[in-house]
Amino acid sequence: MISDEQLRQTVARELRIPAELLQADTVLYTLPGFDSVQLLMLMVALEEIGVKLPTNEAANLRTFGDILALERR
Amino acid sequence: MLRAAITAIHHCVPTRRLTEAELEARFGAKNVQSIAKLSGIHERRIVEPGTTAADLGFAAAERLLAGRNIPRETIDLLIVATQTGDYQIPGTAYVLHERLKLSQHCIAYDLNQGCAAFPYALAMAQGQFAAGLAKCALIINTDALSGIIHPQDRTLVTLHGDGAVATLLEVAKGEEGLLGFHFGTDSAGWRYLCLPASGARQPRSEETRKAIADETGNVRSAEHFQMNGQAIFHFAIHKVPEVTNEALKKFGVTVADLDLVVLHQANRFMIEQIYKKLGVPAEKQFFYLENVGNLSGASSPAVLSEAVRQGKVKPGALVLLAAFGVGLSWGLVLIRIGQDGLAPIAASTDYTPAT
Repeated sequence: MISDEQLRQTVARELRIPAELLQADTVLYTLPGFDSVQLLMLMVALEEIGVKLPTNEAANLRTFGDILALERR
Repeated sequence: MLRAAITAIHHCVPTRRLTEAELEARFGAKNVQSIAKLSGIHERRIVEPGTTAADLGFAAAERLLAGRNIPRETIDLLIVATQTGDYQIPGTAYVLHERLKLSQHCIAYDLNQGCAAFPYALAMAQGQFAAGLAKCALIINTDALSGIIHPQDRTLVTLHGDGAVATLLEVAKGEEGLLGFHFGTDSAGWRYLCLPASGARQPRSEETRKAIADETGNVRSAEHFQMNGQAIFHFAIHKVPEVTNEALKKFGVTVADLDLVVLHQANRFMIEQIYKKLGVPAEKQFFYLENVGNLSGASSPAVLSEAVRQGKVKPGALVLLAAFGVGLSWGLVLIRIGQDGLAPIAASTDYTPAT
């Protein structure tokens, strides 16, 4: 089980942003410099640390909370 | 029972280039460079207004038939695989059958398939060879998605180009030919690649013409092609390695037995991920997207055609081709190239409309 904090640190590192910017309701596209390419790289990074991401969930990833929910299921 | 073999292949792309500089002016340098870094696509070829996928397909087929001196009356099967045909009715196969001056004995029909179209068309042709209905088939894979992509939709504009490929199939001799197929469908994802207002379910109207910007700044209407990029990327890097391994097992071969592994050219990062998961060494990989873009249904045969042009497909080579996309669907075919090889057609791959 990956903790919320581990996920926050992974996402922050991948997006090169301060972890404090990541709240559950943070819309990823509102983050500085975030674009569709970063989302794809993020998906790969999440799976590399063991986050299971079905295609239908990948289709709807929008907020940091969506990422947390993947691991809480 | 007759088996089909690919005996000639030729592709065409429009001469009009959609450059990175043009896109940077439209979307900003950072956005465009970020996408190019991932996609590996730095230039796309798109048709001029008034030119259609059928025109591109005609050029590719005409050059192939002329280049090989194939008498028109010997073609007894024409399959046109496109999602951007000239008309909803009739199929583009009939338009091209007339333009190519094929005989009345030639079976002709369309195949409505997206990026996986090539293996599907090959399988249909193979079936007709096996049934004794055809001995010399012409398959035309052609798409011009630039006409249905909103110019402000950077997720699609930056990736897609237009193109066509003509492939000639004749009766296989010896060990050559189409040796095996593997197909599948995950229809839970059909909405992820969709042109909503394009048929009976959602007729075109004032409402469907309204262009709307999403939260990422991409603009499109219901009359434009739409893609959920993250879903498609995810599908490709997971499903394609899985079904490719299924196919290899079914065919009784391993990556070590193959000379070339051809993948649909959606974007370079995606292709590299798939090659990596399959353990395909660099010398068996081939890329053809940097200067043409993702050619949709024409993509995977264009890779094969370009590999032939570059002398990468040797006589007797064993080639695995995997294509995937709209549906969501996938198709794989194992091809043994004949001992005579696949000589490139001595014609340009550029298409300029006649003025």
